[in-house]
Amino acid sequence: MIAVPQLRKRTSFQLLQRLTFFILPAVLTVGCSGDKAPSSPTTGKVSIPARPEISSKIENSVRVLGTVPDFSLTDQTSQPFGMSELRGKVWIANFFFTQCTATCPQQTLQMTSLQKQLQTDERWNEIQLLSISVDPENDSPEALKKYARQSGADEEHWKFLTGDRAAIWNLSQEGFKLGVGEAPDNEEMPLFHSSKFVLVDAQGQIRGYFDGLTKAGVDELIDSINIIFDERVAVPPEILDPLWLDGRKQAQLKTISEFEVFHDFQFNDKIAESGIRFRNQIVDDAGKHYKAVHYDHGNGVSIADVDGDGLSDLYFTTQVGSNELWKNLGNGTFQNITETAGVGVVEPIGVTASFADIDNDGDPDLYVTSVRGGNFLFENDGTGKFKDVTEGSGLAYRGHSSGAVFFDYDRDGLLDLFLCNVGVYTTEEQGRHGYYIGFKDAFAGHLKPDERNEKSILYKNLGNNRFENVSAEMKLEDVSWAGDASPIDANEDGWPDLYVLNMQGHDEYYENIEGKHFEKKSLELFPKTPWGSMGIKAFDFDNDGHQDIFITDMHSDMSTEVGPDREKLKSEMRFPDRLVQAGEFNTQPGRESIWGNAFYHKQPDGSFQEASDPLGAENYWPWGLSVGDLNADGFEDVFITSSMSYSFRYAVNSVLLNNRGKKFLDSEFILGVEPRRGGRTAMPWFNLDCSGADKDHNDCEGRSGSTVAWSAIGTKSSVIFDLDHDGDLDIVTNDSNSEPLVLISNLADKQENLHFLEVKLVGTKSNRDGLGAKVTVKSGANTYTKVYDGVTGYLSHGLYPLYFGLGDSETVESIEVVWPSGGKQAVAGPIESNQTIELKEK
Amino acid sequence: MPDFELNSFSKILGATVLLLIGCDSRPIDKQKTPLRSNSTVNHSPDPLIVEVTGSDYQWQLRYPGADGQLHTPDDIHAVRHPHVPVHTKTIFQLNSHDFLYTFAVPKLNLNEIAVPDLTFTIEFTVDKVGEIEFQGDQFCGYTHPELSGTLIVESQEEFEAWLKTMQQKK
Repeated sequence: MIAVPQLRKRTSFQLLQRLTFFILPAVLTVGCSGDKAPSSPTTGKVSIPARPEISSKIENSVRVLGTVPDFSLTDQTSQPFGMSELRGKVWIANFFFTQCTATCPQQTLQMTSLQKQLQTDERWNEIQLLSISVDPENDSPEALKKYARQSGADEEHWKFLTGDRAAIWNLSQEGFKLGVGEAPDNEEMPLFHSSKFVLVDAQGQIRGYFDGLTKAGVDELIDSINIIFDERVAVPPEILDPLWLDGRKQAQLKTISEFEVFHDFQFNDKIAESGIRFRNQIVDDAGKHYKAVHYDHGNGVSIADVDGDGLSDLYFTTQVGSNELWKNLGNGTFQNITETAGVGVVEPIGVTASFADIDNDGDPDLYVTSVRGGNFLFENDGTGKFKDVTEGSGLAYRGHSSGAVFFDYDRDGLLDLFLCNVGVYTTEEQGRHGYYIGFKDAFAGHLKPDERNEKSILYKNLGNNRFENVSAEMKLEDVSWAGDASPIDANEDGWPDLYVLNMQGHDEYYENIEGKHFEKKSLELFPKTPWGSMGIKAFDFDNDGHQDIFITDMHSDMSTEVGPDREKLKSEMRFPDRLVQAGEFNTQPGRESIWGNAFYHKQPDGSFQEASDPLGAENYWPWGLSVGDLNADGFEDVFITSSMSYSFRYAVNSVLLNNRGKKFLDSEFILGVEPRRGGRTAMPWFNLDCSGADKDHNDCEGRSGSTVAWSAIGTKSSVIFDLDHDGDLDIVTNDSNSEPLVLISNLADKQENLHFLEVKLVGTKSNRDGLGAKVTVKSGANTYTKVYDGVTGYLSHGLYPLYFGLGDSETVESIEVVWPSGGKQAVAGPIESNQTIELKEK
Repeated sequence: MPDFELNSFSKILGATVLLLIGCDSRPIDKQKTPLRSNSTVNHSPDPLIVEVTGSDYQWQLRYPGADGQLHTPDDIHAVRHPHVPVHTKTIFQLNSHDFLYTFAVPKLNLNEIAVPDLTFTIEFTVDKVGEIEFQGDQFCGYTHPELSGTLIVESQEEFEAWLKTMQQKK
């Protein structure tokens, strides 16, 4: 509770009074020069919010009066500050300017009083105060800084904002419905603005306007803050402040002595600076009507340089609303070009997307998957504008599609496609936004193979943007509950084999028999696999020249409650055998799965040894992984997206730093990936009317009126790449029902001896981007090997330069490429480090 | 809602030694070997078959009436806490009207699922009267206390009296 004054019960009459109080101030554009608002402001119109109906349902509630639009301004420390920083907080805003001598001093005095009353409350860290200058030409960050100090502001919690005048005035007028304007006749006070305090909730909704000049106004405001906090129900309650998080951090910081590798650098979430305003949205089956159905598996994020400017652009997918393509402008900023690119895919319930140059014309094309809304193929014209060429392509499959893997299985120079279809997990009934409502027993779908299995599909690229389903003739008819797959030349014969993840049973491995057909050899190579596989990445962990395989298992962590102290252990697997042993392989006597992540370490004899526990590869509630040399020391590191969100506890995203090929070391706290920006662990997830339509909802138990269910934040997909072209690798995520993380590395600033080489491939006989090529770089005494497989993260496939961290070496002695065509090519050094080189197939 | 009143005899907890004759589901904890009876007991020749159906986060129980058949007009219905007679082979036919549920009796090393349109069975015989806890769950992230409960093992006479009571509630 807010400490002073305590929340008071209201009579209906008082509520009526207060509602009137809320609404009318929006009309009264009380000026700095007095309470006299001009009849016609000189700039823009002042909209009047509609008067809400007053009914008997409003006891102890405050109405939603509107939504604040997205904005980003500059605070008194010259840092960007806006909705990105405010989401999840309850905040109070007012408009002022430092040279104002009329109402502003009194407003600031009342804001100081408000701060004093709030800052002793346990929820102070969830509250933000904002004073926005309507005179930005005079109110520089420095001027605001001085004003903040003079006002006794707690500057972490009370921000003073400046920026573009038109944007601020528009925010006042259109966003907050508060008048602002010029009063040229008033020499002393040439600007007028409202003196009201505006209360905004954690979802960006305006909940009240209060007199910013009187104690009574502040008291009313505090009452409403209490009501808004009382609306919140955290599911489960611990997500708002997981007590174990700080202990985990301290424990991890104590392990620093184990690190043989460079770790003195940090990631900072710079979503605001990036300009990215994408926000993932989920269907109700993953939110308000949550059930154990595959909608809670989230969405992917893909990268490719769509317009040929040398910068990797980002394509985010979402279940509800439009997927978005964000153009990388350099310097860490992005621009939304979805509309001009023509790749929104608005109506279908999106799952993921893959970039691949299907026509070998030198630009990345795009394939987008959805749940029963059809899949889409977009051809790029080379400038980042796309044409929907789905019709006639043969790729318009409509089902429960997921990851789309482009690889050239027959090595004819054209990229083929393996489309993962999960299984039939939806009914014919449709819900809000048109999604197909999931089966209540969707998680048992694999027990009903005749009704629910849905084959994944191998498509052969015929050229001219046409594909043909060749699953049967290639003997690759997989019915796993597969969210994703990866090419891997496991037998190193030059033909890309395929590892197919199964989220409810044994994974499958298909050996490519010289492009003629595939042979299932799952048991021979991988006798035990994770039971609930979600993510996969093949990479050379110890620089022995051979690909190892890291697989993340989510479903095993579902079987029982895993406390923070057990996260590095395998699941105890409490599901009945009936559930986990169903499936073609698992019914064999004596066969058991791995109840967690797997790390298949390639052995000299060609076999794979599962070594996840000795190498420290286990984590809690993982989705998938992205791999990159985060500290540029020559060893590949791992970022694992994690956390289920509603209605489970918070789980950290895991960073596993590769300790020179000997072990993975947990480093998410050491590197600043956790805790998240502002210590956030939870956020508003959905609204409930506990006195009406939702009164039977689980989260309404013991509650009435308006309620906001809060959930743990959760990351689903990620991509690692050098976002800002400063030589180190950054991380961007796609978080369910939330904005992404834009984790910018400062390695380039912290590591004086940063050495790396980026390699771009241009195939001629092979597919244009050389997907499937094996690249070996020799530098100093070290040899680094990477296979360009297009796997960028959970459910995500894209095109990107291969990034080789070189450790202390300043030059590269040689580069060798084995192209998918079979051709070998060597480039002799010395080649200077810290550059991107392009290798064209000869 | 509880469908019965606990009798004093059935409040014997903890020290009760369960003599398990057999069950067909694989044990959930393979380290524990179920105790088997080494005494001579006359078992009823016909197993008791009970339909246990998950429905809206509850277990609906259906017992055969006088005709010994399920799904006939004299079926007897109860909710949540199953009663079974001691020394009698009992078969629970697990099913569901909606979600995927789990049904586990840890002390009997039984752990099975209930799925719509599929029927899975668990078989057991208990040779001592008493109460045995069972645990039910559903995969939605919430706990549903009403899915867990107590298996009441009682004498044949008490079991039949309970059935009669439930039938009268019909």
